[in-house]
Amino acid sequence: MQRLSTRLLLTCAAIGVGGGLVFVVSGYVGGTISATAPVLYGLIIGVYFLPGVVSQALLRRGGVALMTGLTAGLVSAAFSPQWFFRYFGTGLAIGLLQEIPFAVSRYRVWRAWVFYLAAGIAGLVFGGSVLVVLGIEHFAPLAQTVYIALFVLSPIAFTALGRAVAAALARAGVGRSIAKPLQRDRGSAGTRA
Amino acid sequence: MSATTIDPYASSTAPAGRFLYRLNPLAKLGAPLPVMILLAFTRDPVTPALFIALAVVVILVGASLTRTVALLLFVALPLIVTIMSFSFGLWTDPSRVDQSVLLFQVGDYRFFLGALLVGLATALRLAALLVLACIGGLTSTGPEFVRAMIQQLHVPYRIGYTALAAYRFVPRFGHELEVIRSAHRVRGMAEGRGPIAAVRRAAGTVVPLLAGAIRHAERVALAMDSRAFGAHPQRTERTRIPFRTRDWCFMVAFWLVSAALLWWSLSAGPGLVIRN
Amino acid sequence: MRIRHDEREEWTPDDVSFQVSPGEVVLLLGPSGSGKSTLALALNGLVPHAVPAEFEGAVVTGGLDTATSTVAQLSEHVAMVFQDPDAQIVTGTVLDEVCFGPENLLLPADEVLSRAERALRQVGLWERRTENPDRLSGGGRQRLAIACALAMGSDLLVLDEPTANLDPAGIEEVYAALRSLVSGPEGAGKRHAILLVEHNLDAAIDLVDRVVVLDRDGRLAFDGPTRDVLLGHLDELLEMGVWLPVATLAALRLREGGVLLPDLPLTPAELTAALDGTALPTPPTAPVAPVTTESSVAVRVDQLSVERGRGRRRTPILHEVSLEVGTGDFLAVIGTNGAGKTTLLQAIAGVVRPPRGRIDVGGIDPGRSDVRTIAAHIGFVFQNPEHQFIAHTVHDELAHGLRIRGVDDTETERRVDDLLRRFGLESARDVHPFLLSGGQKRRLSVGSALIAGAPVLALDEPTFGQDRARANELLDLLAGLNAQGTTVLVVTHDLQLVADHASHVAVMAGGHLLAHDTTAAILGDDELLRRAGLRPPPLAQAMRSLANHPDWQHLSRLDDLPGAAAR
Ligand SMILES: Nc1ncnc2c1ncn2[C@@H]1O[C@H](COP(=O)(O)OP(=O)(O)OP(=O)(O)O)[C@@H](O)[C@H]1O
Ligand SMILES: Nc1ncnc2c1ncn2[C@@H]1O[C@H](COP(=O)(O)OP(=O)(O)OP(=O)(O)O)[C@@H](O)[C@H]1O
Ligand SMILES: [Mg+2]
Ligand SMILES: [Mg+2]
Repeated sequence: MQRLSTRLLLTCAAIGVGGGLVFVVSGYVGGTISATAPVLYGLIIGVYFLPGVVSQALLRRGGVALMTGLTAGLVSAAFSPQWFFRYFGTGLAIGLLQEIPFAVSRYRVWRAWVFYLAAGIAGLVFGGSVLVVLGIEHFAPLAQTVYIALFVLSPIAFTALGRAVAAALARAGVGRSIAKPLQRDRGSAGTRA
Repeated sequence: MSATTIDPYASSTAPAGRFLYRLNPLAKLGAPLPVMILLAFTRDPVTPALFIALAVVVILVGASLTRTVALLLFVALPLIVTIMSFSFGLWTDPSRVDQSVLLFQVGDYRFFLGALLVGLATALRLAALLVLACIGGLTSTGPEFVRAMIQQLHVPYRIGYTALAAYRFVPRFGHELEVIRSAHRVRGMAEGRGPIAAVRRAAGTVVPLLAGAIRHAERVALAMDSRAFGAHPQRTERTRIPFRTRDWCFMVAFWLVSAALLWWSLSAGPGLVIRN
Repeated sequence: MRIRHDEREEWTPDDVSFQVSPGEVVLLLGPSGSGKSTLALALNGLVPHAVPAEFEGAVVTGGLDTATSTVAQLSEHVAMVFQDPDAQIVTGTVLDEVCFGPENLLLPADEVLSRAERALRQVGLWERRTENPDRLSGGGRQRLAIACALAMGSDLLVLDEPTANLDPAGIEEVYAALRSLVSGPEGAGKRHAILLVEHNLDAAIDLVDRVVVLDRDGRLAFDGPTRDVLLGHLDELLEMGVWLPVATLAALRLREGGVLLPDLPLTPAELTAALDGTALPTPPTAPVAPVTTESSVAVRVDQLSVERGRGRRRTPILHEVSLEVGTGDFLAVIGTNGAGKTTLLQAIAGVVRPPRGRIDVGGIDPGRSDVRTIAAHIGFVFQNPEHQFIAHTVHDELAHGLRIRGVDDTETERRVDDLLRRFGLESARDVHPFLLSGGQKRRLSVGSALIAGAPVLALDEPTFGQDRARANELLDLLAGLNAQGTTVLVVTHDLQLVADHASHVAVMAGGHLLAHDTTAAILGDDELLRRAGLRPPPLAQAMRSLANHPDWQHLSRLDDLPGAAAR
């Protein structure tokens, strides 16, 4: 783990805290949705992708989504202790899912399509598991389609949002010193021990 | 939502005498975990109801009954279950449920008792997951949980302590958000009501908020580095969150009771019915 | 040794060599941007190990070369205290905080505790060890940071502007703690060497043995004993724009006014002694404050009470404050940390919605007016300029205020260009506001508050963290506006600034307005200042103690002294 500098870890934590606060807000919205129109629950699932996407798009380094998801989960759980494991588990699980596609390329490819593909797949996996809990087999076919579609579309939409936030941050010069440069130049590596 | 109202370090809130507060957070997570996973596959209303009862009893005995807890268990929970039973019931496919009792009919749509029961089962299942998670959630603090993760699950301490430091960012975030919002308001940023203005306002605060937070984080990182953070693979832990015999006892007891309940519900009750 | 940050052209610091001996207190001076902080970070290896920068030369501390040792190894030799106390706190109690460092060093638990106890006792915080650090005052938190540094067991303590965020009482606390470290009775403990970066020379000067000065380009300018450097190279130091002790500035001023002091003083006490030993002319009659006779009122505050927070945490912050600010006044609001200065200013400017009918700014009530109207009557500059930036370029940032008021495009362009020129920001026209330097950000924030043409300008700690040249530049700007009739309200901790620039002063304490009067009356009232938890500014301190020249005792402004401005 020595690979991740303290700076990077804390930057992720800062993004995670922001994400955690968004989780809390979306938690209330989500609670209302799942009580009244459970089929639309997928709408807000994308929110849980935000912190990971922002950190990945801003910093382009391995492990950042996991770290951000972990902090986001912990922080939001601090607000609603009764949902400790719901927030914590979701934050961690989605952070983990977000790592996978980039880990496959050994953190070399940070193209936009990877982000969207990752979001879609993670949404599917996540939607699938929530689906088991809810007992989707009782739902009408239309409801099933809408349900799954939202679980895929919402993460994609929020990924776009997260990337926009990261771009705005980069424009303001934030995180420059720790972000991995866009064009890889091996010469300047090794400023850190 | 006011970020300044939580003090994640307020560990002294643990009232003496209630056993749940004195257990390792991981024990309180590990105890209900197997049954939470199994519950996801049940489809009947009785099994989750049994576990809701179990969890409520454990919480009532082991945790102090604060206003929040009381509201949650005795007001919010029944309410949620009722509403969800109907809303899930409405969304179920009427052709796949027991159509013997018709509850009401609106135009072409017919709502059967069977649908309500399916909805009830789903609502109870979700409620059971929530209440089971509450056993640990209500009685452990974030920092305790992080320490337990470091000490028992061997999560690298650099990650754990970063998460602990992150708790300190929360009130700061809330304060900064407030200042930025009022700054933007007086400068006439995206005035007006309605969702569009609200979204534009939110978008405008994200960058200064995160930029400030990240810059703060970088300064904290320097301060931590200069105090030898990460010098060794381990660090001295003065605050031990031990995993004691009583933690094992609690976990094993909980597992046994869960197994007994499951078995009873399987053999004598409506059973672990998976409908098709 | 020289350092260049990634993506920078210049080396700051550039080609610097010096050493610090055990037990020595060295003050590092230099204009803003000369690389003082960067140099400090290099001493424990944070540059280049944690901060991406190019590093040439060598730094050796405690026999370790920073380039080949880890920051962790170096931390046992060099300990750091930074400017912002909040950015140094990681844990939830005072004791945990001090233990954090030694624990990282993997010391046995009882050794950790004994070190923590020793360090906390040294700074006088042992009694409060179980508290959350948030509950300490600013000065207390900074003492905690010093204790944390001590607990690392290092011989060299590096402090980068440790008192910049503090009120006078907090500053005194910190320096008392530092003083006990270096001048404690011999054998009472290890004598630490200290490297200090500090703008507030008046607080630090009597502690310092040696001064090292970097020039604008980050090169080593001077290095020598305090008196030799500060007094021997006065003109160069003035030229560079670094802060100097007020007593020295005053003596320079007197010299130009024909009063020659045998030895230039560094501290108020020395100034007093020097003046008492010299024959003085009668002081120039203080220029009567110019336009205070005008009776029109720019801002009226009537029985204002403000509460913040929600629900059960709702607490009153201001208690029935009443105040009238005349048109053309330069009002300074002073008080300790948490006295309610910011809240008062924000209520006046409508940043926090004041209750209705309590405030009148040029005929409008910020409690019930819309933003446009408020902006036309009063401009507000936040303490952290970044909070108020809302556009993506400097140009748009300035234009925004005009656009929302429906000013047409050509007029907007003309006024923006004019302001860019006046504030020296033309070259930064299309730059993102966040990428400006600290001084530029501050000027931009003043500019964007000004551009709507408001007759009242309110600023929250405008000179915070700036060097003397920058601070003076800003103050001259404000003085210019003030002379043209703009009413200026500032919140500040710098009482010498107050003495030199403000026409009136409002003193806050615990949410109450203690007093509001002319500057001379307030600063002349020691009893009042003490009640507010403040200290008289350095020049007033020196003058107040004069034994031989009773007619000089009331002076507190540099401008009151004979001679031209020694800036
Ligand atoms: N992290 C960084 N990345 C890039 N440039 C930096 C960084 N930190 C500082 N600089 C630049 O290096 C130069 C020296 O900065 P430094 O902060 O050391 O100056 P300073 O003497 O401490 O100034 P001040 O008195 O304002 O604190 C400045 O030009 C600054 O803009
Ligand atoms: N939004 C808020 N909610 C609750 N309390 C607040 C809020 N804003 C300020 N306070 C409290 O009000 C008091 C006065 O705050 P204020 O910022 O006006 O002080 P100040 O005189 O400007 O201090 P400083 O010199 O530190 O800037 C402080 O004790 C502060 O903690
Ligand atoms: Mg500096
Ligand atoms: Mg203030």
